[in-house]
Amino acid sequence: MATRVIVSILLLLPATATSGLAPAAQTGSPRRVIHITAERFEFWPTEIRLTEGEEVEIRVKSDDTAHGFRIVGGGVNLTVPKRGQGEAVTVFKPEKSGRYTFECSRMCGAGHNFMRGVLIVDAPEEQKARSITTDHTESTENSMGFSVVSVCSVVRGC
Amino acid sequence: MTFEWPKRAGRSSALLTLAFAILVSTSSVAAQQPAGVEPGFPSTGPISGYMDFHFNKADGEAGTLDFHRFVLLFTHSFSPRVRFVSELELEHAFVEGLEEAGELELEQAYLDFLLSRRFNLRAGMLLVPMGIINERHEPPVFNGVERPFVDTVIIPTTWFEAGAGVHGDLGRGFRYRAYALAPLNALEFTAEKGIRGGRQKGSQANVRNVAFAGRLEYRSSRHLTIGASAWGGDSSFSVPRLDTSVRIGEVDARYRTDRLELRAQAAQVGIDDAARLNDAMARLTGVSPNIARSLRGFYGEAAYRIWNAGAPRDLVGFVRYENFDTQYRMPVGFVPLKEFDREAWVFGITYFPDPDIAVKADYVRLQNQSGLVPTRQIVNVGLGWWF
Ligand SMILES: [Cu+2]
Repeated sequence: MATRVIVSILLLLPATATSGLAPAAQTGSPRRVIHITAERFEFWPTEIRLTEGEEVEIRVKSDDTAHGFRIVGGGVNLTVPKRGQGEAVTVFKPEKSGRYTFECSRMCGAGHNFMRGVLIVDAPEEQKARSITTDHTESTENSMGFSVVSVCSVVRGC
Repeated sequence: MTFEWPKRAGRSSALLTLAFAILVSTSSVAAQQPAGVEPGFPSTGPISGYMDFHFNKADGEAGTLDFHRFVLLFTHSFSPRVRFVSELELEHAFVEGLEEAGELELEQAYLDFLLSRRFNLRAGMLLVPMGIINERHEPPVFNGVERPFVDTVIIPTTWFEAGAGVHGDLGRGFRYRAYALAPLNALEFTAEKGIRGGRQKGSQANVRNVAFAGRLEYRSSRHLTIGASAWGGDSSFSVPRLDTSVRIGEVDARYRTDRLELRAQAAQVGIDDAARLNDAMARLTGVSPNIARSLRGFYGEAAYRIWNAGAPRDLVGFVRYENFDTQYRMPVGFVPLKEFDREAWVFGITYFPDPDIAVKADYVRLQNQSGLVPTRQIVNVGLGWWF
């Protein structure tokens, strides 16, 4: 059943990608791949910097049990397979600068609520100006201007 | 490892202040979350839990089969930012009124108000943020059938207490927890198990004095996490004019690569006025309990993933050395009971037929400094799972 769902999602991917946004290959810029590791009870890294309009591929794998990966308020909610059983993948393109909280969305133990992180999206000019990472104040966690190009859970690597 | 907590000043109002802060934050959370913003909320469950089934055999004794822990977790999310988490545990499979058999414990039952990355509020029955194991105690998470001795008699896991506090992620790898909690009850301390009996477990807990607990963790890379915890509170509320202030300090580190995992932890407990505590307890019970003024323990563990092809081809071998003494420093006029100055070597394996199932076996050699009490050799086999 799970395999069938995954296969259907994979088959739908090209259509989804071309309907909303141009895939990276057509824009000529290589898509950055961001690897996130989930384990009880933290993600690593917990802080990820992106640039507004940058399309990235987020790949989340677990070092222990199954976790979840949700971008709060954003319609991304993946199941991260258990250790050694592949990774969850999504393509994410933030249209607006700001801070996007991500968190574990599948109960994984006593410290589950501690599993949170942040995607910090800089405006392009900010990105250029920033030579050293500076401390940012909390701002627009909920104003979600972004596109999720595709979402899939990959079993044993795809 | 010595440190001082502020004395009683302001403690009585700490819980009230936190309760007020939670009330205020609840209304602001409600204002930030218009109904229907996030699909899937409110939501309940699903139920999850873990179980721990053990066989223990000490030399010269009959083996025992024990369904040590049966734990169910119930959760409810009122919204993405307001969540309830609970953990109900049945220990040793059986509870009978007034009998010392099993225990039914509410180990966690709290509301989390997730306000921002840096600052969140939590209130209810909380796990004391101390050491590696207390907040990370699911069977597949640690090696060994039984939890480390240091995490049993020096840090009394599972240590949970009623209270309220704050937690958050400060960025750059730093995370913290800071809670105000009901204190320990010093009248339940013992020479053998230290402060363990003093846990009030949120059961009509006396809060004439409030205890404070805090933990700071730093993760420098994917591989290394270091942590430090502290606890402090006046713990002699049952006996007037006794000032048994208890302080606990702890440091720990975990290093993990693909195959190797190293863990180290050290903890020290300080008990003020231990001589008068002993006298007071002797007057109440007729026997001096010989409580120390300082308890100490540390351990180091090295684990290597011998078979690393992913479950069911997943096998870990480990060795752990522990040293723990609940009679480390005695008050003037008291002599330490050397049988409680102990060290242990633990050798074992953990096999994962599934990442959430741990089949464990180990051999424990438990020695003490007394010439009279013999060394114990124990074989343990365990089956633990999470779902
Ligand atoms: Cu998780």
